Amino acid sequence: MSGTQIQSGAMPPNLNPETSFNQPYQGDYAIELDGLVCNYQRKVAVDGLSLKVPLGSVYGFIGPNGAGKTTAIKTILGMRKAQGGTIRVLGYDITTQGLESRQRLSYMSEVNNLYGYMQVREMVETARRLSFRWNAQIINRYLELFHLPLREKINKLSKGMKGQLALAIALASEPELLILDEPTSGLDPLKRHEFLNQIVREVSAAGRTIFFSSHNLDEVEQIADWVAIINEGKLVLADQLDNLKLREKSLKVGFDRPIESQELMNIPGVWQVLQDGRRYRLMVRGDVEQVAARVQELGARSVEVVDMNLESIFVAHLQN
Amino acid sequence: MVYKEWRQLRLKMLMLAGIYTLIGVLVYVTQITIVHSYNTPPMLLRWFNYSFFATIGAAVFFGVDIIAEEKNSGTLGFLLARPISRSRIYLTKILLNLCGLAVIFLVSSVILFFINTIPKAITLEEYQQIDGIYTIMPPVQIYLNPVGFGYALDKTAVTLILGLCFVCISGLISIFARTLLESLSLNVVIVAVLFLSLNARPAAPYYLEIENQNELFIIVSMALLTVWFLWAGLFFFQRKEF
Repeated sequence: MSGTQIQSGAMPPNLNPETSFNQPYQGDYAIELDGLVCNYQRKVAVDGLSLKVPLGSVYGFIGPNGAGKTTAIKTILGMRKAQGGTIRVLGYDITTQGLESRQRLSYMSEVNNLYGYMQVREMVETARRLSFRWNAQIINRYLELFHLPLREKINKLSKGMKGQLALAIALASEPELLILDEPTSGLDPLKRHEFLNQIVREVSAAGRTIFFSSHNLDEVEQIADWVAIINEGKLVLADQLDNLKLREKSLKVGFDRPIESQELMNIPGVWQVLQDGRRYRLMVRGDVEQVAARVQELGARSVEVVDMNLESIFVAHLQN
Repeated sequence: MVYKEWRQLRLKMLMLAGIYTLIGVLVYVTQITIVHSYNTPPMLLRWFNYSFFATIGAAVFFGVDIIAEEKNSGTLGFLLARPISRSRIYLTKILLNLCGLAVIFLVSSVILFFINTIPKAITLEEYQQIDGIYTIMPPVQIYLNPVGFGYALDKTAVTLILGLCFVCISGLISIFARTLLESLSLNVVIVAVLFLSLNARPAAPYYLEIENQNELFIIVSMALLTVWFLWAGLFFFQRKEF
């Protein structure tokens, strides 16, 4: 690493003496949304969203483009006003205690929101002065780890390096909650992999909560404990990833005779039927063995249980 | 916040002080080469009221990107996600830009002040006849004149407060503008309307009346306007969704 290390700074002057910052939040949920309604450009972008992000989890917030993920995140951060519902972040009601909640969290946007005209060291100094808490050892460690040149202007850095710098800055304030909005957008697969590993190693291992949005389902599957799928502003499902995969199965079924899809839909546990000639793909929730038995009673020639990955679950739910 | 804003402001101040001084020198040189007597300045110089419009131009330059540039570049999200209140963000930006304008205004004025005192002697009456064309800081002879001192000081104060008012107006506009270009365009429109309305008055001076006895009233009114626009900017910035 070129240049000198960043010096440890004194506590920023915006320290709120009333905040017991040394006491980490002890509640069950880092984020609690209850009936959240947000508008964006005169349309309802988030419609009655209710979800709870368990403390200490890695929570993937996924949905197609325009689903309302970024709007929901910006509302959680107080950048946008909610038209309805309640939001609690680390126990704070953000309508009245937004400042206090932001003292304990860090945010990293998909859009590069670093000051391009500044050098790396100036950006770090700016972030330090605008943070409630700052750990110089952490930032120095990351600057060295990522080989970020201190005296280079930010607009001269590659996209991957900007992302690394943004992550380093986000982690230096030792947040209890890290909110990431499409953090690996624009990164190549290698950088993406490294980035995600970094997050899991450093943040999740320290017991902190990560809430991140993405439409790259492979990366969500790689690191998330919990997953919520949102579509057109509404919550489609939210569950632990392992539970989801155990619960959501599919059956590939072949028949020799024509059969109505409705006949298959009537089987308890089947919530979607996709047809391809005389082959059917059944989305099953619950006891897949029982469904398989019922399908065989209907005269199925072949029945195959297929484990679904997150992408299949996502696509199936959105198509339903 | 101050550190970040200062980092952004210092280049702007340097550029503007240089441009401001250069234009002042050009106007001064043009005047002494083209204008043969103080009584008949060319139409161009009468219309280009250096102190008035240069100050407004500088004020717009300071205020136009207070919020618009941050929105454009995506850095507003960085600021709004930090544990600092919106009022602190806006007030720090506006107040630093106001100070920046005041500093370069005074610095360039001091420079021009010394240039203007070389080598002419000018009476108060002659100075009043070319009122506004001259630089902001009248020649030292005017200040040394017991009657002229108050007059010169009033001119300086009015020009400065006008600039401060326009910084607040530009700041307010930049909250609503979607891009930097939009912010700049709206500012130019407002300045053009002001220019036309001032010059549309019959026998209007292209500057505010100083010869009458209402200088204090003008200064106080403009100060109140400045405070109002500052408050309005703060009000809307706290409530705007980004």
